[in-house]
Amino acid sequence: MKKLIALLLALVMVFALVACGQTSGNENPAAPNDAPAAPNDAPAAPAEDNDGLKYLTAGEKWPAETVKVGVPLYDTTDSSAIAGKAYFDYLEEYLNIEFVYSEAIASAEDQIAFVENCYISGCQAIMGTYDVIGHTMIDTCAEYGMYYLMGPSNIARMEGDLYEQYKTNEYWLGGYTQGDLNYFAGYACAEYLIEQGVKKCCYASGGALFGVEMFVRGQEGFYQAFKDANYEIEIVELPGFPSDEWFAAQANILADKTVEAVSGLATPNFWAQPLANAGRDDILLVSGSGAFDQTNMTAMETGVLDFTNFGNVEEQGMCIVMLLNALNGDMDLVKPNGVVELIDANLWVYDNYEEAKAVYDVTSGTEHLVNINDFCSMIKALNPEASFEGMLKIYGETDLDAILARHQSYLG
Amino acid sequence: MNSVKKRRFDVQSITRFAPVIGLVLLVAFFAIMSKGKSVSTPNLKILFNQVVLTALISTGGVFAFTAGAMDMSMSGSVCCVAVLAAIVGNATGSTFIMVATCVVASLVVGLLKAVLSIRMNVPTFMITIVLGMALSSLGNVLLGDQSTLSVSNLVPSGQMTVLYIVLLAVFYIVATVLFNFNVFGKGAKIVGGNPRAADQTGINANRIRLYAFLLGAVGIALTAIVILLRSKSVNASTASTVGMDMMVAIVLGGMPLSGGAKSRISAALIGAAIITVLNNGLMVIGVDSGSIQLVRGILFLIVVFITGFSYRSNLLPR
Repeated sequence: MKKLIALLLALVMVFALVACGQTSGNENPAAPNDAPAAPNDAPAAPAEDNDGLKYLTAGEKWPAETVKVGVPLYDTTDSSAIAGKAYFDYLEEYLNIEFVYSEAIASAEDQIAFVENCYISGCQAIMGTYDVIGHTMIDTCAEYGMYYLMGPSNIARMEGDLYEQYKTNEYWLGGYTQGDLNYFAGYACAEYLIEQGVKKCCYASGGALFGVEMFVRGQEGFYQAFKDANYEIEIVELPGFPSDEWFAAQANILADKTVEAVSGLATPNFWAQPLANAGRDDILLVSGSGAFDQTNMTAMETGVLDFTNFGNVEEQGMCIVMLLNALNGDMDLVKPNGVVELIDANLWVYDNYEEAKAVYDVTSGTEHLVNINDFCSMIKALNPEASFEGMLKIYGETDLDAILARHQSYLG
Repeated sequence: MNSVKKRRFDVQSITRFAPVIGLVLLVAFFAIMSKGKSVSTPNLKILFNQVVLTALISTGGVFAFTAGAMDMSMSGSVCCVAVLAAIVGNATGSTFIMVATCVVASLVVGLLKAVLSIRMNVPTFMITIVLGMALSSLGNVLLGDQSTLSVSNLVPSGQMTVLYIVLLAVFYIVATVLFNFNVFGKGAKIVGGNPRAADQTGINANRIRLYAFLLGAVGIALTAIVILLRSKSVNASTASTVGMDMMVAIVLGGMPLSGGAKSRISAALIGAAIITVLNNGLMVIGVDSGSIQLVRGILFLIVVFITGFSYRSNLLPR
């Protein structure tokens, strides 16, 4: 009898946890057969103000119907993923949009299952911040009648025959893509080393050893820059990810007094402390494609990190702008030429703490580089003057002063 | 005395049917919470598409586990076989050859596992852990510079749910007959339960293990085929979770990982269904991804706890 009671209590606990975990406030997810909403069913725009542009305030959500977007993640603890979530949380304050995040996706099967579950949960789109099945994601989303945004894949730009094959696909909206960002990130790191006159450096090539595309491209960019500049440098390569062997190799490199710099993609997390412990403040730490987070800022502030570049996760918001325009039937703001437009992300480059900190303060605070007023100005249902070119201009701006001036103009 | 016997019978009956009861409760719970969405026709189709992989690999894997050979190389095996088949398929342009490669390569892998397990005086789980890593690495090496290898030109678009149903049904029926109504299945249980006793009774444990690994290889082949059909691509992470899913399914389905007399083929199907319904249902009712992991972990602990009642031993007795 006790065992039966234990069993029942255990089941009650599970069900209670499930019930507690259920999100509130969204009792009307779109039925699978309704997703994505047909343009004609799109919610009407809020009333216009004098300029025809409607600004949203916190609590005043638009559109009327909740738009659900599935976001597959490779690593839920990754700083870029966390930063992305924080930005999407900000958007959720103003937009009636709900982001459904995956658990850490380890395989193509996981990803397909996530897409299927998104469909049945009423998602109208999948935002491919990460995907492991490349262009077949477009087919999978199309099969379930969901829009697919971005890449496909944030690690490579789809070009050539594949692009030709899919560019008119009804369900692929395109938009922001990291393109060859990692290649240029590696390239920029090498350029900085050349500028500093470094003659021997360590390159932490991470997943390049296992064929992980972002690391492969980063490495290629790094080496290409030296070739292009015809620059002689001795490079000690450290492949793979931190492990006992990796740390042993790292210790050897730090003990080598002739090593002048360490570079690689997203290096500060694994190098900042060991450099400090080894007392090697003479070594330049040069990071590409890192996250724009507190770790990087602290490393720059303390002088451990000398150079960094990154793709700003806020630029992923472009996909949401495009999705909302598409759901409202304004496809001219999504595919102005009738085909998918792939817009490469900007590479934000800093070798100066003050400049980096100024941008970091905006992205980590309530202001944001692309704020909700920017969003309103890019959505045709809220701003009749909105245009595709206007969206490109906003997302192409990397000058902080110009961005802040633009934000000020909405208030004036 | 009678009451003691009766009480034990009741507990044993409940624990015996606990996986089925759990599955029914889960389905009912999610149906209520999602207002029927979880049992809608589109979702049932999705559920079947998702359950088929775990069910296939588990059905094949049950035999080795029953015979006391804990096969930890399933993920690596499927990955390697799928990558090889994709390469051969792309090279020849033939879907048939791609599928045939899956079958042949799987049988070779199964044979290799059997030989290593029989000949090496090392616990099978250790051999298969190493072998699994080696096979995953081989898959990675075969991929070369390509991070993803597409086979979309070799497989038709769309989900082939009917084909999956046929594949799983045929394999499961054959496996059930072999497991429950054939001397091989009974022999596997005895070998798994007590290898020394099996040896004393004249059962050829080596032959049983060979057949068990070959049946596991059939499961690997079918899983690789379904992965190729479903994802239309392979990469280094292909099937990386199926091995763990299989073990969780087997335990959730009510079978001890150590095998032996308590093993049952139904564990593969029911366990796979429980995992799939749970993952799908939690998402359909809007539970966030972090909580899904928590609930799944708690449920797994509960099942392990309940399982302990009936076996009077642990999941891994020895």
